[in-house]
Amino acid sequence: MPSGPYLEKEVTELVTFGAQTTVSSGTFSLTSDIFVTPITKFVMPKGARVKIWSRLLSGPPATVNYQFANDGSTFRTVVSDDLASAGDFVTEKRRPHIFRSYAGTEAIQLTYTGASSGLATTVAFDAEISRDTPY
Amino acid sequence: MVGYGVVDEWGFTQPNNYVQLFMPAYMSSIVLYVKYRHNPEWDLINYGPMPFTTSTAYNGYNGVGGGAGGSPTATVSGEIPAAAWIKQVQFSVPSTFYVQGTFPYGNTDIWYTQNNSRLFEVKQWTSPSWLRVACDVPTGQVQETFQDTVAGGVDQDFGWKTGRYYTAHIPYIHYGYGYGNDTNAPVYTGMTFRYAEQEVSLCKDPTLVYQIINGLYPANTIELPIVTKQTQIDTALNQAYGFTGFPIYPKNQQAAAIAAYQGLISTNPKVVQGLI
Repeated sequence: MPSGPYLEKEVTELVTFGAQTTVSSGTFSLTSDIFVTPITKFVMPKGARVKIWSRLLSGPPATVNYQFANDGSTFRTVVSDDLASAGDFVTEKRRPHIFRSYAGTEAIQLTYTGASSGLATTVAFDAEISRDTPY
Repeated sequence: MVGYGVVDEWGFTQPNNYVQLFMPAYMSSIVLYVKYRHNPEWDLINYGPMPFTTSTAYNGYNGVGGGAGGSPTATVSGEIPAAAWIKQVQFSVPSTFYVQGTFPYGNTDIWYTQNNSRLFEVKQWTSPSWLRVACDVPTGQVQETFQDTVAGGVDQDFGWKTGRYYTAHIPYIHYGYGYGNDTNAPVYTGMTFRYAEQEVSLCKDPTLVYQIINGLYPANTIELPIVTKQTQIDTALNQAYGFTGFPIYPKNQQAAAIAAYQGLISTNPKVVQGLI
């Protein structure tokens, strides 16, 4: 179908994921402006890529692990952020962290350790979700 | 926006140009002359949440998006549940619209018309943009197949686009859209339309019809998602245009094509009655 050149590129979605620690260690319950209810892992759309462009960690000390699972359940840590003392940790990436989905089962989750059981540490990351397969 | 090209910046046919609606199942095209546009410069509809409610019936993906089949349900209006898909969606007048006057053909499908001098060219963008999007014509008739036997669609691994769709709505027939959310996140949806409400008439010059169909005269071409013939489509085409389109002839059969087109035009009841 003839159409404008811009239409040939699949559209992408930019989503800010956010969560807070609730105990000293565990798995984050992720929310965003478009999620009706929080999720503990994000199962990626089949054929999509998730690109994480920026990460935020704010509040009392905590270590956050970005984990990926091909089968949706066997997670391995790919990226970690360690907030050594109370404050803010912000990382913006010129090149994003990329997670790929081929089977439709791939998932991302965030876990944390070393958090304060009394005060919440906030985590947030900006992710681009797209099926802009370059071939 | 009137300009010098055949299409504007959104791909819609410019006034004083031609648009060819090609239908693969019929191997034919409806060739229309676009006289003017009823909505120049105001082509945007922020539709809002999709017309889903907590009682909308969804089907569940099995194996993708963490889904296990079944019939997922939404907890709020406008939500598409996790790992869920739905077909035969039509866009009713949303409750968030303030509309003065009434829609002439009911409030359940804003793109439906029985005015054969109207053609809606419609682009849509979904939020979130990872949703699968497909279109069935008429609603309920799957128009996505592989080698004629395997059905596609939002419930399958192929036969859909991601987050956007562009087609033309012909009169007298309801289109049905399909949407799928192949993630495990229940999401609020949103829909944005851009459209061109075209005032059209049938091209009655057989030579020009031949030239447009064969790419010898500049015109917009929209390939309608019609790969399976259907009685309702026949009826709609006959009601709107008096026939099922100009058949496609190879470039080396110009004389035969023009003669055939002349016959189709001169015997077309809508043309004879001056209705198109």
